[in-house]
Amino acid sequence: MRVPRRSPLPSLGGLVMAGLLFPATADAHGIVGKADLPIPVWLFSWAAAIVLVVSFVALSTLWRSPQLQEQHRSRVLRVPGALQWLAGALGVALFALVLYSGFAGAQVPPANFSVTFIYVIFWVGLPVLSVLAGDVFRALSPWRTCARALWWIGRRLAPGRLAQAPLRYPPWLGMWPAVAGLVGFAWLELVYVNREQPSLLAALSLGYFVVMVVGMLLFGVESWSEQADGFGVYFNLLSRLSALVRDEQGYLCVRRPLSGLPDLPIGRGTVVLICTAIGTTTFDGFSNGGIWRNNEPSLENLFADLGLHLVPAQELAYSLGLVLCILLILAVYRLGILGIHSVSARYDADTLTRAFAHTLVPIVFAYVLAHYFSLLLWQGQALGYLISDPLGNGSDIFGTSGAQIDYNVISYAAIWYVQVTALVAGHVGGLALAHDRALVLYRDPLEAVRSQYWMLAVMVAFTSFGLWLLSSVGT
Amino acid sequence: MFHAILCLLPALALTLPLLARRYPGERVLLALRAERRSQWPRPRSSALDARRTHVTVVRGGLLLGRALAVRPPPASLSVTS
Repeated sequence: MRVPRRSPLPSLGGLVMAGLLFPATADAHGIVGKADLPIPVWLFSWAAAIVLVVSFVALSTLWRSPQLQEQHRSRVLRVPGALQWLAGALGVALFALVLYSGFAGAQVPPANFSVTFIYVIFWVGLPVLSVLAGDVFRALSPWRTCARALWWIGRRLAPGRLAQAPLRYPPWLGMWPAVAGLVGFAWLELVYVNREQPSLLAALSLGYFVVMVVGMLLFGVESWSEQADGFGVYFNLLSRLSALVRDEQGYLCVRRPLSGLPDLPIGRGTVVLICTAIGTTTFDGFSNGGIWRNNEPSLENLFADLGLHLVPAQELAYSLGLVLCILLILAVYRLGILGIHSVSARYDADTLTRAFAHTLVPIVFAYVLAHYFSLLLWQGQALGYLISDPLGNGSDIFGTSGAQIDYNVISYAAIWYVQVTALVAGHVGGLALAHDRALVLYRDPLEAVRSQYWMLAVMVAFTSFGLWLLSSVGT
Repeated sequence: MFHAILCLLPALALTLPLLARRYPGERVLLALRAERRSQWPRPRSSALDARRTHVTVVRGGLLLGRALAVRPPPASLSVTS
């Protein structure tokens, strides 16, 4: 007997009935099957490829010198330091509410504040906010705020003794802890059967908080935040897409879009982290498609025949799928880099891998937006009633507990067009970054142009694959 | 599967020539780059153009001021271009 897999969010087919009776969560992914499109889906893939080819031609002929290696910042206004502490306090308050609702609230996922906040507002909403407004999580992070507060208190109590962190962050560790954090969260979100249990989410959140605070106290807030905090690193990565940035003197500055990426520090694990971010979203879409749904039971039965019980067998099958998707993204990128290396022996493949890694970041956001736009738009509305009844016990703190999710706020076709636009725009951004970097690396125009043929192939591959994933969801 | 192949065909179509070390349209791209370079105006010289230098003749109060001043006048009053 196959153990029915509890989807993190109910299927679209039951939404109408469930939505009438009980505020339900929404399907996270593309809903092309419901959309009334004027042309076949595969033609969208070809159209997207043509857009990328045209962009490649335009970049090759018109973009003749590097434009993004410098940020060209312009100061707009000074952000008071107190505002950062206020944002931190807000972050701590929201985190406390997540813990309280998770532990003390009803263990019914759609009715508990913690589930929607973590999987929708935090995991999907914050990336969007980071791209729009810069690295806001740096100020909102509850663990960073608490660690800074503890450092401040410690320096007041023992002046002179806490001039620097007790331990030095090991350089060999790089961003691998952040990679582990991201993979761990993705596994929880996409693989673990009890992923929606509010008390479990609260316990894991508390555990992560403790690990982060201890790490920041031992190794220093900035060293740990920049390399070991998976969420901090991930949101900082996406914030580099933003035209807004706060400088070291506390001024809010405007910079050229995308210019925050070329100076992204590429250390140990950074390339894997970027590919992991794309790979986890890829698996989220792939696991809801026809090929996986048709073949996963065979994999599950294989593991069951090896002696595993049904639930562990299912989780192992999904874990394997998650890892394979991450490896697939790494492989496609690496193949593109090997292609660039074949153009000129000026740089070795590892140097090129690091030199072009930042060009994948727009794709990270493109995949996030394409896969989760509808989830944010629909399930994000649930915050309206959850904030009044965070524990799911019938309270009505702000008078909005009777609010319902309006699924008619956007049509299915409009969602598809947003998804396509996000994918194409993200990959055009990646192409621009790659072209800009090639102009820095290669003085010979022939080498620069040829190297970008390979990046064009990588971008078209990711775009086509992304569109196919979205179109296959629910099949 | 047919749908997947159709969606992924653009990527295959682009990659196959590259694997054969062919870069379609490369010559056209390089020619367009060279053509745009020749259409650009020649860069202006960074040195001052002597023909456009305007020298202010010192008269009247300025003449007296210069004679009596301890330090020389600001450079902007002596030569402008």
